[in-house]
Amino acid sequence: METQADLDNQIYQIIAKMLRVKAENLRPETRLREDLGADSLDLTEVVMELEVHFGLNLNTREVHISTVAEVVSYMKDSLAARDQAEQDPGPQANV
Amino acid sequence: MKHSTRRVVITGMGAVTPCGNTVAELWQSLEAGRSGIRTITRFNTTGFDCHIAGEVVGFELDRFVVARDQKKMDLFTQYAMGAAEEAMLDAGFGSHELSSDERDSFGAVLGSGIGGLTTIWHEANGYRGPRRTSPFFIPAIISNLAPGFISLRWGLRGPNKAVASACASATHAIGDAARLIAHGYADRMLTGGAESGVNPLGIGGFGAMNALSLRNATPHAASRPFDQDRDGFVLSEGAGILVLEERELALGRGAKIYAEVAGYGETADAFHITRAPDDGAGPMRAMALALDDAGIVAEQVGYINAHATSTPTGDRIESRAIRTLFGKHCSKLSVSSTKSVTGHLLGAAGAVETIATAMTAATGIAPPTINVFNQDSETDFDVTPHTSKKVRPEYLMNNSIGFGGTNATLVLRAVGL
Repeated sequence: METQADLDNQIYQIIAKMLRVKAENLRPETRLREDLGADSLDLTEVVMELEVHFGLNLNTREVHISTVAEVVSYMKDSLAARDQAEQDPGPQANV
Repeated sequence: MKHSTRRVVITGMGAVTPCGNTVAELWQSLEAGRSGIRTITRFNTTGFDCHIAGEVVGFELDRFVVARDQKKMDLFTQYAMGAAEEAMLDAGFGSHELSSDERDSFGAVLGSGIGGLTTIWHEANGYRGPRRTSPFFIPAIISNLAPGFISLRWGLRGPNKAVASACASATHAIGDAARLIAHGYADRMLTGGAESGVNPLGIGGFGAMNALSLRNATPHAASRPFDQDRDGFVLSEGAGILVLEERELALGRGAKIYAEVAGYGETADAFHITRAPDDGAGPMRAMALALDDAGIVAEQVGYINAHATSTPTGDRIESRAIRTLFGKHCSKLSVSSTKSVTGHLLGAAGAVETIATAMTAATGIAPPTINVFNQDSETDFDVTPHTSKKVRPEYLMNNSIGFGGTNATLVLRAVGL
């Protein structure tokens, strides 16, 4: 089973790879735009890479992330929402 | 140039080519007739008819583009960035702090025949689904992101665009840029062209047109313009960039001047998508218009850097065009095809050849056409076979001819004669 640290590490590695920085230099409070020089296309690409890595389908138009911590928290929420959806078959299953 | 009193000069040059990644290395190779054609290493050519190309080797991208921006650029833009850096430093703009006004009137117009073909190939091959295309895919492939990134790098806010006219792209770009300066719409321009088609789509696509040389066993002897046994061109890649500047500004800051851009002519054949009419009327009219633009007659031209790509029909048609226009003066002309050494850089070819022509103007040395072992009988003028020679032309010409039946000619004038 994946630990919390594993998950954080995977997200850090993907941010680092897509923004061409070293993962060990990333801190939760690191700002993607101001500190790392990312623009909206860079952020879209980061989210797309996270989607592929975690097998998620996210709406990249509605992503509002500005720090590394927000990326981590956004991914955790998205993963939790997916797990919830898988456990709950939803109303259609009863029809 | 006609219709203008402002004159335009070349004050900086940069090159990334299969024959070296600086103008100095390129010129040494051209002068020595040292071919840049080799067996393709970029991809596995098993199953392709053609296994040879002019690949750029040893290009140090990290010197020109920060790591984070590299993935946003196709190879052609990366090459353009390297060549632009050299051209700007060569022109003295590395240390010269450009003022805000100077940036407003400093533009960039570059040619690329195709744009980001390598990126198109990789993105299509690794297609990950409808919502998984890289947001950098479009910026990487569009032709005008080469001048776009150059404008970002140097803060150039003047005219900025790409010219696409296949193998004539860079010559058109240089001519258009020169006219922007001559007519007062800009004072300085970075111009030229960039291309990177050495990938399965490029080799496969041109191969399907039977346009490529298949002399796989002898890469150095494959590009043989004007030779009667030529069997096609050799695909090459790279970039050539020039700094054009209004003459008084250049003189005022004591800039080194390679040559003046004295005339420009452009025409279309309206004949066929890929081949010119047998009489070469289109290229001939482009040359004639360029002479008229320069205010000179054919007899004042001493040297021509020909388009001559090494295809069986193309070289013959250009030879006829030259013969028709220059008549008896052909016996006094020196002509060379530097594609015999570099291969065909497509949309960058006209820039690399304008650089070569400017070097001939500045040094008085005409580089050779190599591999002319049996000169075509229709090419009855001196093609500077095998070895370079001393020339002293006041006016020099550079021809480019592109698919789509498009033709461009520049006339350069040597300075300091």
